[in-house]
Amino acid sequence: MNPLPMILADLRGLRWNAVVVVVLVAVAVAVGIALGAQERAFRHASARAADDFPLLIGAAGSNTQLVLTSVYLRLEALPLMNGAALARLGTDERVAAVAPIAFGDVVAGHPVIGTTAAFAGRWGRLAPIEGRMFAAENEAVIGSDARLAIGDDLKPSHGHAGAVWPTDLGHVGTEEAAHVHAGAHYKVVGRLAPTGGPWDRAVIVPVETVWETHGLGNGHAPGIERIGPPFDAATVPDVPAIVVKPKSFAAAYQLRGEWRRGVTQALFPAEVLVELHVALGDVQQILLVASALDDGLVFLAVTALLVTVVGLRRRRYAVLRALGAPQSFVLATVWGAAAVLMVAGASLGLGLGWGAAIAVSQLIAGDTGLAVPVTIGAPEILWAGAVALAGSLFALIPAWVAGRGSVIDGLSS
Amino acid sequence: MPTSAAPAEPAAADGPRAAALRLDGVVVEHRRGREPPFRALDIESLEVPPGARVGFAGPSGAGKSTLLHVVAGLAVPSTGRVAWGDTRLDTLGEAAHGRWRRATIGFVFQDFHLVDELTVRDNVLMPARFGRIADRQALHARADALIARMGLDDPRRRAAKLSRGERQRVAVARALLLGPRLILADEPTASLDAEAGRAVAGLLVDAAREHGATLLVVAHDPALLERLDTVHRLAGGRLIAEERR
Repeated sequence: MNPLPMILADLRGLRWNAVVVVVLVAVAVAVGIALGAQERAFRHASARAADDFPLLIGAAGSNTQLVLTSVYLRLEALPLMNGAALARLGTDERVAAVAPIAFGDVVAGHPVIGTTAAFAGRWGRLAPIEGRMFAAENEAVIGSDARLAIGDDLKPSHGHAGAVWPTDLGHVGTEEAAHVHAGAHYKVVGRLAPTGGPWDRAVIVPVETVWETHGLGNGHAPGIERIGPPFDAATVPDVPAIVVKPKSFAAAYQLRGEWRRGVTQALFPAEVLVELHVALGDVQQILLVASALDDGLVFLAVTALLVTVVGLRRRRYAVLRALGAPQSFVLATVWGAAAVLMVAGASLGLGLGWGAAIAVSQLIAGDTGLAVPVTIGAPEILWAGAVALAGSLFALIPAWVAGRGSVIDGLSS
Repeated sequence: MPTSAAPAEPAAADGPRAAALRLDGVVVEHRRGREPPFRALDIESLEVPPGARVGFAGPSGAGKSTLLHVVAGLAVPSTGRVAWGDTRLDTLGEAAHGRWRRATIGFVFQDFHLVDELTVRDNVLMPARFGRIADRQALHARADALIARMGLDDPRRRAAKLSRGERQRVAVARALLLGPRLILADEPTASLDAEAGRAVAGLLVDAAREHGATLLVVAHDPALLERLDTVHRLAGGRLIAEERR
């Protein structure tokens, strides 16, 4: 038995109906694929961006905002904590390294972040791919995606007006132009390797430069012009966030316990991410259920369409049976054509879903600076396969309808 | 008294391969709601010898097509006996009837019933798709020979692009592909012009003779009927007259 020529003939005869079915199934599949792939990629990317922030300490307040601002540079005004903490942590024997993070300025759409050279280089993990690390006040290194060049002389403006789109980077907006810090400037001396996070868009300067730009001194004893730790407990300004690299897990938990009392909070960014992912996960579940319902509705619509087509082709299948075709031949013909459409739709949906996930990644990267590399993995392929399988099972309905009924009635229809 | 057709001329080299067809007391009734059953066919006795070429004529509703459907196993008689040689057709189940039909019958329809999206060759090969093909090359060669015999020059043409006469010739070739022992033709020339009708009638009768097959034809077309050995007249589902040529 070889129903393949009839399957191809049926598909050819469907013309635009076949295209409609494939597109409907493809869109239904693509929604599920895009949701799954995007969500997984976003979780990975957001977790990776937080890898360089073992322990964050800030003033008591929203832990989520502390992480969003420090790690993801979603810049909002954070409550400040006493800068003396920097000196205290710098001498704590459980701490391998400590760095302040200071925000508040913008250059050509790029956020300006003040910190130490050690943390800018992610404590030795990240080296400049061009030029060198800043070594003095008024020097800056730029992230890999910054639309600036080594040698640029930058004039910072007060504010958080970061660029929303990558294409806006490198342009000075109206708001930014109205709040330029008089007399302040940085010279770009290096470009850092990519981190895959929002810091790739930042202009990173010595924290002393940020403090001085805002008239807060340089955090060192009078007369000392160097940059970097140790900081002077008596003169160091209040800071919005401190990154701490503990020497051990035990030290990390001890420090977190000690600094999350009273006027300060200490947290592992992963904790906040887990909370966010749990919330995202709930939404994800709802979206996946909605997507599955969507698929079910599409299957019903496609099945109804195919049953109608089979009804219109009643005579064709009656002729086959009159010529001696067993019911199984007719069933295989109708099911085969429908299954081909379902599999084609699911395969196209896999590609479309991947494309959609990449497009959403571009939007997220444009909005957050977070590189979200989307990959199509086993879950997406399994999803597409499950949809194709379910669709093929639905396709048995028109096939069963086609194989039933009187041949004579079919011949005279 | 049984009505019988004259034996066919043994034109085939090895004589008729067909079996005798016999109908006894065959009644087909249709029921519509609460109305009394309508008797579409009432054949007291009909015997068709192997290799005979028999026509059935009569007004619409006389039961001609129903008779073909009973023989083909597409319609089940309410009572009676239908036999092809030693095989009781009226007692076969649907699947067995399908197998018998596939192995025995070539069917030519008035409206051709080709698959428009397929080529001439694929339409002719269609009955072979229903079962296992032993020698694919030989089958294709046979299909191409039949197509050429029918005067069709290009086996790769789509059926949708053929004229009505060409379509019916493809339908005849399809019916002959598996070397049927019984050819059933339901008004095979009714939708053709006179010239095309004569050509198709000639092909059908000649092919039946060459294959030693029994040919049962429902027709109004005198040009086709006059080429047959016997013509039965039907009215009200009954055989009312027999004309031997």
